Amino acid sequence: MRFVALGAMLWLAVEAFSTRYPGARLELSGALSESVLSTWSLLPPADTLSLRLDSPPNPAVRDWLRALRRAGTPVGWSDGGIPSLMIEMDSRPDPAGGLIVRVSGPPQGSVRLEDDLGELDRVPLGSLGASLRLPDVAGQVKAMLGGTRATSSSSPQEVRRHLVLLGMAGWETKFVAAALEERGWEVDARLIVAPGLAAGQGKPFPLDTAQHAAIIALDSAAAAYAGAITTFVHSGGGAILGPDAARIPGLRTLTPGRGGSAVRARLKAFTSSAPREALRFRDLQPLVPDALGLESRDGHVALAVRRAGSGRVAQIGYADTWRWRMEGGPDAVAAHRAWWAELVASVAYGGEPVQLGPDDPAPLAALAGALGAPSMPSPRSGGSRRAFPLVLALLLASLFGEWTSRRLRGPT
Amino acid sequence: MSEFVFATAQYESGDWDSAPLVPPNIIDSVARYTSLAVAPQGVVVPLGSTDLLRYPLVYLTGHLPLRLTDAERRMVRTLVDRGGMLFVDDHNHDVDGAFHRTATEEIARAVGPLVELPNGHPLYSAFFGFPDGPPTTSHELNGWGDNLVHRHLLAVERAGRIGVLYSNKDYSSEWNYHPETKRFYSVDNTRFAVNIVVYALTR
Repeated sequence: MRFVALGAMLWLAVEAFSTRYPGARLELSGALSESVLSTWSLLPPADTLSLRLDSPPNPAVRDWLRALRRAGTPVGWSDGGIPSLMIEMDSRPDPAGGLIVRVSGPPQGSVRLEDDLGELDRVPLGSLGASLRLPDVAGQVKAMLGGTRATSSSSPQEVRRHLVLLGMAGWETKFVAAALEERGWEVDARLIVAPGLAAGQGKPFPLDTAQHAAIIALDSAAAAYAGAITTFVHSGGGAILGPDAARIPGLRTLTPGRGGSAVRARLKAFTSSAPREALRFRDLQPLVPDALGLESRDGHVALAVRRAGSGRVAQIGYADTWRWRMEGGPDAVAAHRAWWAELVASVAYGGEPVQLGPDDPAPLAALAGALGAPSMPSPRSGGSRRAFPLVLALLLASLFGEWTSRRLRGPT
Repeated sequence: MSEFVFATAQYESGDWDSAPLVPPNIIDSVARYTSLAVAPQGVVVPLGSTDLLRYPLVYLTGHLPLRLTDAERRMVRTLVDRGGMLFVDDHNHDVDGAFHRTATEEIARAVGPLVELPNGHPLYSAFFGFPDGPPTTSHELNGWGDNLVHRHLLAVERAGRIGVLYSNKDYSSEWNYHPETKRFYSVDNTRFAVNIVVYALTR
């Protein structure tokens, strides 16, 4: 027993005079850079680490804090006013190129955007953030707000350049194909000219998101391919359905609208500033609950979109947009082409973005993901250190008891 | 979807209505051989009117000298630039004839010079197959007009498609009969007209 007690006292003595400072608590504030790592290595180890942050740490420091936390050191942080900034960049699925940059952050804020060559723009944020189109950028796009910087983490994708066009041979199919080819799309077409006979070009089938960005089905010629179109859309492909195609029973699960009543043209000529007012269309209402009407006239919906599986579907009520191209004003060809290109870009499959490096597209969210919600940690319990005086007293008492028992027992 | 309407161009000079039975005959053939939605009646459209743009395929023929007004020239150019197609047939079948000399000159002024269309062009396989190029007409083979069998059609192309198709073969005479008469032909000689319509609708 004596030896056990002496051994325990020796361990406690070593523990007491080691380099640790029981109950040490390190508090850091301000912007954390990688210098905090060297600071940490020079200080005596702390039981807890408390951070007050007014801007998010860079990814390397954030990952170190997460590692420290997982190793058992309580790490807590409080938000000193870090804005919830996020940036995302996608390629527009359009052969004409272009990028869409979406930014979210505190409403009424103004975000500075820059790429590797310098400032691109300053964007005021609304309640839904902001988005803008850019023709091209150098490197990654960064959004700056105060001391916070969010960096887009994906690179632009190469656009799949093939579309599929299905329809009866006619002016609408001809001029839709012409408009999209002028835009730079490769149009794989199947145009029905007689029973069992189709004119066309390219290889429209099998439909495959590895090859095709979207399918445009204008009329009942798509009926034989309804199953393939549905599978294609659920796999991520885009679809544009004309008024007659939307009536095909096999495509009803995709259509945003369920209507079909005719709406007359409001204008006779296509030369006004609103040329589609001269087009008649079928009202798409009622829309299914998850559909969104994008174009309407007098309360009647002419264009609506929805998601279906991983893909997107647009339904148009117009059947003769070619008349706009042919009969419109001097810019009608370009306007018709741009409208169709925009429609295709809104549904076309853009591929999976390639992730680049460790940059933070959403720094505050990444910080919360790494360290949890803001909270200040309670110090580690301290275990043996807090019990040191009590244990020492017990050991001394037991040694004293053992000594006195030997003395009081007397010679035997 | 709107139906296909066969349109005949009415121009201010010459005799634009020299082959009045061609439109109903072509409409009959299109309806007979294809499933295209086709209007049972054709229309006559002034060449210098903006109404021309309502009909992306327009047929023009005549015997007499063709002189286009500024408005007609402008509308022909607009039609072709926007993706339409003008089919011009020399009703004289005569390369020295007044129509040919003036029409080719006017086409060149409006949209550019005509060039020979290769006999392997997609026009000749758009519906029926014509591996040897444009089908001959009885007027060519009988030695009427310039006493020539024209091996090629002429065309002005825009972005890889035909904007103006020009024929010296006198299809206007060859097809200018009542559709009911077709039953007396062993081979329907209007089949090439179906190719022209299908080509215009699909290219």
